[in-house]
Amino acid sequence: MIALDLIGDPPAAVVAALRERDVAADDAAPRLAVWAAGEPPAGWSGVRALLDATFVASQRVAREGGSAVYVVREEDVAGTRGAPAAMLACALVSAARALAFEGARRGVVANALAVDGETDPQLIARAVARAVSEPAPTGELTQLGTFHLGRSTP
Amino acid sequence: MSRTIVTGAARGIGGAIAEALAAEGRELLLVDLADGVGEVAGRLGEGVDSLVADIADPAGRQAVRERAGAVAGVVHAAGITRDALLAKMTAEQFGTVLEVNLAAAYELTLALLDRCEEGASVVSISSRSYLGNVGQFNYAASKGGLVGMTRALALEHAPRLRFNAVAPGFIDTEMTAAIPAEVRARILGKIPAGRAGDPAEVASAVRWLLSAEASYVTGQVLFVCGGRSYA
Repeated sequence: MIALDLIGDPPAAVVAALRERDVAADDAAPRLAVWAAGEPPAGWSGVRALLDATFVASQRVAREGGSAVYVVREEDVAGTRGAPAAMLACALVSAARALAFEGARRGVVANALAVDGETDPQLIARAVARAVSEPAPTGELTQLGTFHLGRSTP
Repeated sequence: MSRTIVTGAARGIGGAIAEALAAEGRELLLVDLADGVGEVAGRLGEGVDSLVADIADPAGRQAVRERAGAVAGVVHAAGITRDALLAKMTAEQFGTVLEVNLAAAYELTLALLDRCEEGASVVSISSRSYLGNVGQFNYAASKGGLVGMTRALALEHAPRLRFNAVAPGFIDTEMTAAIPAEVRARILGKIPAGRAGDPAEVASAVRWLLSAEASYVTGQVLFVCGGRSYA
C-alpha cells in the first residue's frame, strides 16, 4: 500500500488498485493524492471546498518535501462538464505546475493526471504510484484516457 | 446602445483596456473597487459610465447587473496578487485570491448572462502564470481556473456568446514597478521580446477578441507575453 494522504473520494476500484501497489514510503516525506475526477461540483462552493483541502494538504508537501498528484477529468480540462468542474480541474493543473516550479530545487514533485470515465482503475493506480515515487517527472499533466485525442492539448 | 463592462478599470491593464475601447467609440461601464474609476471615466468622456463596486461581494455584482443594461461585452480585468511561497502562504492569502480573481468573475458572468445580447463577447484576463510560477500557488490556480471557466462557458453558450481569455506575461504596471531592479533584469532576460509589455498591448488583444474580427474565435487563450510562454 502506498502511504498516501488521499483527499477527495475516489471510486472503490481505484482505492483497491492502489492498495495492491506496494510502494512503501522509505522516509517520512508526505505523498499526496487529490481526487477531483468524480461528479462535477454543483457550484463555486464545491470548487472552493476541494481547493481549500488541496491547499492545506499541499502545504505539508511544500514544507516537508515529498510529492503530490492531483487527479482530474480530461473532460473537465476541456470544459465539457460545466464551468465549476472546469474551474476546479484547470485550477488544480495550474496549482500542480506552481508547486512543481516552487519545489524543483528541493526535490518536491507535483503532477496532474487526467482520466476519463472509462480509464482502467489499474492504470490510474499505476500512474498515481509512479507520480509519487522517486524518480518521477514533475510539473506534468499526463492524460490517461482517450477523450483528449484530436482535441487541443491544454 | 449596448455597453461593454470592464472590471478592474481604475488602473493598470484594466485602465488601458478601458482607454482602448473608449477610443473606438464603445459605450462602457467601468467597474472598480477604487474611487479612481470615476476619474478614469470622466477623462475618457462621453459614453463612459463608472461604478464603484466590489464584485467579490454579491451586493456589488447586483449593482453591476442593475446598471448594465444590454451587454455587448464583458472584460474581467479585476485581479489581485498575494504572493508567498506555499510553505508560508496563509489560508487568507489563498482564499482571497481565489475569490477575487476567479469566483467574482464567474459569479458576475452568471449574473450578466441574460443581459448579454446575441454575439456578445466575454474576455477574461488570465496570466502566463497559470503555467506555474514560484510564490503563486494561489494566483496560478485562480488564473488556471479562469481558463477552465472560459472553455466551459464557450462550449455551453455557443453560438450565442463567445468566451476567450488573454494571458499577459510581464507587463509594466504599478504592480510590477515595485519589483527590485536586479529581479526585473533577471525577468526581462528570459523574455524573447527583451522587454516588458505595455498595458496597451494587452488592451489591443482584448479589443480584437471583443470585435467582430474575432467572430470565429471562442474558448481560446491568447498569450501576450513577448514569447515567454515557450522560452
